[in-house]
Amino acid sequence: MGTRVKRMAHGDTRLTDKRELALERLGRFLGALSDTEVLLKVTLEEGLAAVQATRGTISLIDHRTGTLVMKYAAGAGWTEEKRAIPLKVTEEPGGSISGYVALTGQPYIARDVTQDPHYYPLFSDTRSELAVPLTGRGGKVIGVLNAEKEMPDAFGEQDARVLMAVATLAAVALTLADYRRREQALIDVGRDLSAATDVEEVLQRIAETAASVLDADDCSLFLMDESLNRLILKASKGPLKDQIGHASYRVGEGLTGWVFMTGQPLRLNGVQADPRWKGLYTELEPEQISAFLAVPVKGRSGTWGVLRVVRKKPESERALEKLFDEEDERLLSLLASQVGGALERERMQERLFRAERLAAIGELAARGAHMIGNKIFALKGAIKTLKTLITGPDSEKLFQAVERAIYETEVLLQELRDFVKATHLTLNPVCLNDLISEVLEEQSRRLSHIRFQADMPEAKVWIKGDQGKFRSVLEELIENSRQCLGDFGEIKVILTVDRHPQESRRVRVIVLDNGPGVPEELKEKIFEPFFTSRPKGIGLGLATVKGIVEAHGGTVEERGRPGEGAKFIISLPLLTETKEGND
Amino acid sequence: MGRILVVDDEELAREAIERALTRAGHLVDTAGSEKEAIQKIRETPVPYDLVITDMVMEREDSGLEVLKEALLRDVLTEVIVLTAYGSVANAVESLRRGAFDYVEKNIPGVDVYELLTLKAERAMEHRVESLSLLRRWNRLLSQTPAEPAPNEQ
Repeated sequence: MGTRVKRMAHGDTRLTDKRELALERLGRFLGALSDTEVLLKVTLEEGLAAVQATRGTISLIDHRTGTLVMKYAAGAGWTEEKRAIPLKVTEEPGGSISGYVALTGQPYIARDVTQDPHYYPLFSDTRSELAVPLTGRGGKVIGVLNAEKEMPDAFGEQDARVLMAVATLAAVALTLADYRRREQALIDVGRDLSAATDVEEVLQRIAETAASVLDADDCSLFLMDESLNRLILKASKGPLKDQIGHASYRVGEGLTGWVFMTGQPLRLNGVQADPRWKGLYTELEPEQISAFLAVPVKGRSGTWGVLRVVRKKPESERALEKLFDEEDERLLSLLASQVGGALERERMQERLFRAERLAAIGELAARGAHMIGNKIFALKGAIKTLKTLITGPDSEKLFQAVERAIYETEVLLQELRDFVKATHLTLNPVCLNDLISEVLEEQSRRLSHIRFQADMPEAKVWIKGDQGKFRSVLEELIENSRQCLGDFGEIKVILTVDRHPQESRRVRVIVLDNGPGVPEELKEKIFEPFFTSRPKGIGLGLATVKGIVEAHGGTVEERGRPGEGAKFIISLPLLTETKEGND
Repeated sequence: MGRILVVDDEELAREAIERALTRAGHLVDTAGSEKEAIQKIRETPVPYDLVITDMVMEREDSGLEVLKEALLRDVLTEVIVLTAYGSVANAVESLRRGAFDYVEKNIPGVDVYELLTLKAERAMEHRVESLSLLRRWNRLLSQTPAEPAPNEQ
């Protein structure tokens, strides 16, 4: 109806027809933009119409196999078998014109296919062929559009230009769709992360998303474990999945450790030739890996880990290897920074929550301790007088019991006070080597039945800390071990400086014993205030340790294997190291 | 022997300290609050030799107020501050402001009353020394002809 109105208004029907036709075609393209399948089909149909071809195909390159996958075919004589024939991306004679165009990225006109070295005979009646590339991001060929006719010399330069224009339009739309897919992946990941309840599950989903949008065969995420000073596998799409939580790299070890250590992304073509490569944990057989890309997972406060993706080598020897490009690197870095941000947020929230809870407990404990302390003080006074009034062997015994109870109450109050004061630090440079030696010397005098051992570096290790408070941390951990140790008890203290790259170098103090260890289900609980498995004490010892260590900007965890003894690992920021004699 | 004011809002504690000090031969007066203590310090005809005051009563730093008032009345009055848990910082502050000493109420295994009696004794000695020093100074100054003698009370 609309057509008729316009015709009447203009009069020049030929011109109007052309314009309307162009508009209609543009409309078809625009309408197909949101659906790549439809877009490919429209591109083929419009392309063939534009060069008046009778037969044609549109194919996309599968980089894994190095072949062209036919998406749509038009014209007479197509069968399932013919559609399914894979055309190699190759310059070999007889490998197909489309395959040759896919390789060169240049339009190609075969004026007479019977004389053409590249032609692959699918139809006996085809005489002329025109093929143009679909060129995507970074000038890479993503597919081929081809047109055929039954007469020789059917296509000229003009036709090649027209078909090329149609192909370019389609390629731009496909590229946009690809960008949209990437953008959407970032948005989805962001949403996932902000709504995350189960972090591990989200990390796993991110690995899968990253692999999918980067067209990678596999993706793994390693995160730093400060207690172990190792990068631990947290998520993986493929076969490494079984090793989540176990596979680990030291800082600087292998490509992954290198990326963490330097904070630099790494893009490689094949991994085996690289001198940094260790091949400890690979998603694919090493010789199968062609493209490798790893980026650091960074937050504001430092590097959290490494996110890496790999692509398999193409099955065909002659296929082009699809390497990761700068845009891939940017996308993976963006994904990684989202992960880093989310982890940081989570840790901060957890710390805030803990701090608030501890502050509330501390406030309560302080007030309670003060009030009880006052009453106990009064009670002591009354008992003292009572003792002068009541004498005799029986009462003597009772008084001793009462005084013992008062003593124990005051010890508990002391424990409460230490807990409340855990975070009030007076910071000075503290030499950990000296402090550990002193504490061990004192303790071995006090506990002669326990064998103490120290393993410390030659260089003096300094932290910024509260000498008295940190001493009490060591004493509490030793006391904690002592209570679980039998006659042949051993306690070992190890001091190490982690070879971390950045300014964020850390010190670890590890306290080990040969006691029964801490059961898996209690590993986190033991640091909770008022948790105790012993009849004595109110269970603030390890909570106080945690409070003091965290106030020093550190972490403390129990990482021993049950049955093999307890292993407390304290990680702290390093202040400096001094060689013997220099300090 | 000395005149001592014991300030504590915990009645049992107040009484226990009073008993311990009385037994040691001192004359003991008591107050149950910062307010009452300040009133007694101001109104007593002769300044106390020693004031033993709890730190936390109506306020977190009631002890500091009592200390100030005692020193205003007689700069040579000795003050011992008592602290229960959580007020050591204020106790240290009281030393800076002129208290003789502070005693923590809950030291496991220590007879704090014994300790307090001992410290009271020491504080008393300190006051006697200070007073005699002051007297010597006054005498010295009154014998110097160039300077007009200060008014002796």
